[in-house]
Amino acid sequence: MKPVFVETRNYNVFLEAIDELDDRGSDERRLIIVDGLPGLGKTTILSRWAANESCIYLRGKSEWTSYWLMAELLTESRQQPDEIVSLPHGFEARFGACLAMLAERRRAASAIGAQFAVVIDEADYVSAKSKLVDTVRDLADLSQVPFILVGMGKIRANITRHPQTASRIAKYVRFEPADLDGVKQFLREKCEIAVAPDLASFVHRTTGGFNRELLGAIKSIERFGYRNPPPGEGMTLRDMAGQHLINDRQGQPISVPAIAMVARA
Amino acid sequence: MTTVQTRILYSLGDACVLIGDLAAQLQLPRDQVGQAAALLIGRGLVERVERGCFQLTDAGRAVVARGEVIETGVTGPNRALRKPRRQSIRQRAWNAMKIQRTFTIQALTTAVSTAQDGDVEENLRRYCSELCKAGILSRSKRREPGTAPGSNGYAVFTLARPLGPLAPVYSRARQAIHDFNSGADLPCIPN
Repeated sequence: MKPVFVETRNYNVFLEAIDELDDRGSDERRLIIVDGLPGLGKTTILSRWAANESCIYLRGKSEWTSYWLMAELLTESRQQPDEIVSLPHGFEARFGACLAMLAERRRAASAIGAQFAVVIDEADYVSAKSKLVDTVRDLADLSQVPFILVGMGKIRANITRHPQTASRIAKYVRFEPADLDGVKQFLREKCEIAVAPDLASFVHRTTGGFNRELLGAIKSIERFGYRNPPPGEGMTLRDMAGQHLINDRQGQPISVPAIAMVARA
Repeated sequence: MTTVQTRILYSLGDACVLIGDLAAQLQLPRDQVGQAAALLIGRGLVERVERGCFQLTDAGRAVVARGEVIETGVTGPNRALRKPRRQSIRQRAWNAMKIQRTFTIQALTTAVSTAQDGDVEENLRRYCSELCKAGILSRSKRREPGTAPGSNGYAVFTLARPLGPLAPVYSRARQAIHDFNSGADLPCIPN
């Protein structure tokens, strides 16, 4: 598989949301919600963006509390994590330290014209707890640093239960499965074996346009294609007839139809 | 012609002299005195006791005792370690390592490479190898299988020591990884 990042439609939608946030200036709405079903590339896209922009990236935990969240925020930014550097004790002191750290990171980023935000992945754990939601809102309000909450379907419903927080949301970004063109683009850019349109359509049908399944399909195509190089413009359904492609989410194998069925189709 | 550095050197003593007093004494602008003092600090002849206040070091006193003149120009190779640029490939890769914790070179390349970059994969392979020698990364015995026939698969790395936000830098001269967050050198031990 080629080690390249595919700029999918979801990625571009997310970037547009970030750009819109920059245009808002001092607007107090500094929360972005990114949601979508598992396997659509949310973590891949957000972690790449955070790494390239030197933003803070945290992963939500089921037992997270506000105090713990702030500890992780400070740990991510401290200079000497190896040493025993004690974090401020007490909610007030820790909250103040977080604000100071966020302000410093925001200032440093704006000095070189870069973006700075805090990404919280698996934010369903955050949205389920009122105190955590309030802490995130307070940190975003007071530091003027955008917080990007990434989660699955429940996050949007959970957040709307907190009207004060819901009013701070600048943008909802919904990740959607790739359409046929998106799947073809993905195969073209990631797969080391050329894929013919009929096999690309089959991959689209069986994967449902989910990135996770698409990556599995690419591995199967490459594994077969390296041993049986396709003769023409790329690997076709006929070439791969009867071969295992992916497992569905229930663990059931999905194979390319046998050659007789391909011929009938 | 006497250089500004020489004039400053011979105007300093054991006590700390303020930059304003030096400027007045030598009838030079403050910024010129500051720049020349910084060069003398770089040569190890002057030390800054506190902001804007300078005094001679032992080496500086020895130069004055010998009556030497400080010539301007290059004093030798610049051996200072260069801080990682914020958006360099290795800085981005370091950010990605801290996020992913366990990764392959391929995954790391996918996470950080852009169309403008050169051979990111080879760059990161060398970087990860150096970080392994310094104990910052550990290489798993397990390898992620590849798809090509005869492929050895991909090495799996784990971040063992998540240092601070600035990417550690390899110094060949020191045979060590320098951590700009703590200022410490972590020696590279060959495998």
